[in-house]
Amino acid sequence: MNNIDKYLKATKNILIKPQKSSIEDKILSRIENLSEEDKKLLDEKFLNFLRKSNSRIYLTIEKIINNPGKFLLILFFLIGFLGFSIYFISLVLKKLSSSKNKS
Amino acid sequence: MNNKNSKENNEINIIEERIKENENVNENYKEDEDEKENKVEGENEDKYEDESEDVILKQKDFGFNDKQIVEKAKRGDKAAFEQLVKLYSKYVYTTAFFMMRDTHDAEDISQEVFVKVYLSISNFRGLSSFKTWIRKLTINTCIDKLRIKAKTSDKKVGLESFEDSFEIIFPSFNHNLEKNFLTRETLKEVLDIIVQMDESYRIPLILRDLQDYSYREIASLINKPIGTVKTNIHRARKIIKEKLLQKNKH
Repeated sequence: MNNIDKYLKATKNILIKPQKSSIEDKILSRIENLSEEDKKLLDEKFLNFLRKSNSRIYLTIEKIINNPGKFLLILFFLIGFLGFSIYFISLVLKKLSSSKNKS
Repeated sequence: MNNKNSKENNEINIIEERIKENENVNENYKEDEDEKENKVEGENEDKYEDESEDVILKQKDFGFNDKQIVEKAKRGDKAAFEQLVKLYSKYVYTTAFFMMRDTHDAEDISQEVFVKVYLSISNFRGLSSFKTWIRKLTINTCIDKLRIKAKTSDKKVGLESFEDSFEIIFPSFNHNLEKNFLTRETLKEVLDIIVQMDESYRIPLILRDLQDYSYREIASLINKPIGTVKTNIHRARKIIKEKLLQKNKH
């Protein structure tokens, strides 16, 4: 299955050449001659998509939900780092207080 | 401020020069097509692949600078929008083609996507990259079209096998020509297999392996349980592996 993964990964970079006339020309000529029907393409569904793609909160939540493993790893790392920092600071404070007592 | 503007203008000028070079390459390709019958097939293929690699390399260069083009397009600059069309039209067409398996549908979807982009780009905040945004828009448009097709098509009619041929533009892989050739041939076979697949396998496979959607996103897009999506993707990969092995045996 590993070879398949390699080829599937490579297909991501492939482009297909449109068969007939240039697709760019067709797109540009359609945009130059926009009709009322074309304006109807901005329907409720599209506007919803636009709202979501412009919402930082929505995009962040989506990232977390779609990559829960990554998010958990970062969270554990942060908790571990915080725990270590608290432990280190408490050690330093203990040493300081013990040296004060001695003096 | 003046330095920043002149830097931006310099970069835009470089991009415009490269687009003009790109157009010259395409014109040269069209002339070569007219003389194709008189040329040796091998020579012609090499020339096309060199030009197509140029196109891909130039498109990759643009990826870094398209933020400025997008900003200009948002402000209503038509030339900037045309540059975006030139940069992303083949990408959108390719995505639509693999989803729909039909050149006419792929063309329609490409046009629809860019019309939507044109009408709404001023509202695009740029929280994700433009490429990600247009990719998701293309996929959503394809899924909507597939749903409409599913409702209107005659379910009793069997799936027609996909018989159209399609030309592939490959990126450059490595300098080893023989390895390059074998990789390209295998890739062509893999793409052929994907395009011939049943929709229930093809769509989840494309969304997962070619478009990097999560299983959850795919399940939500195609209205199927996550378990079914995972199973179908696994089966699709198995089909590809088996067919490749069969072809290698022959």
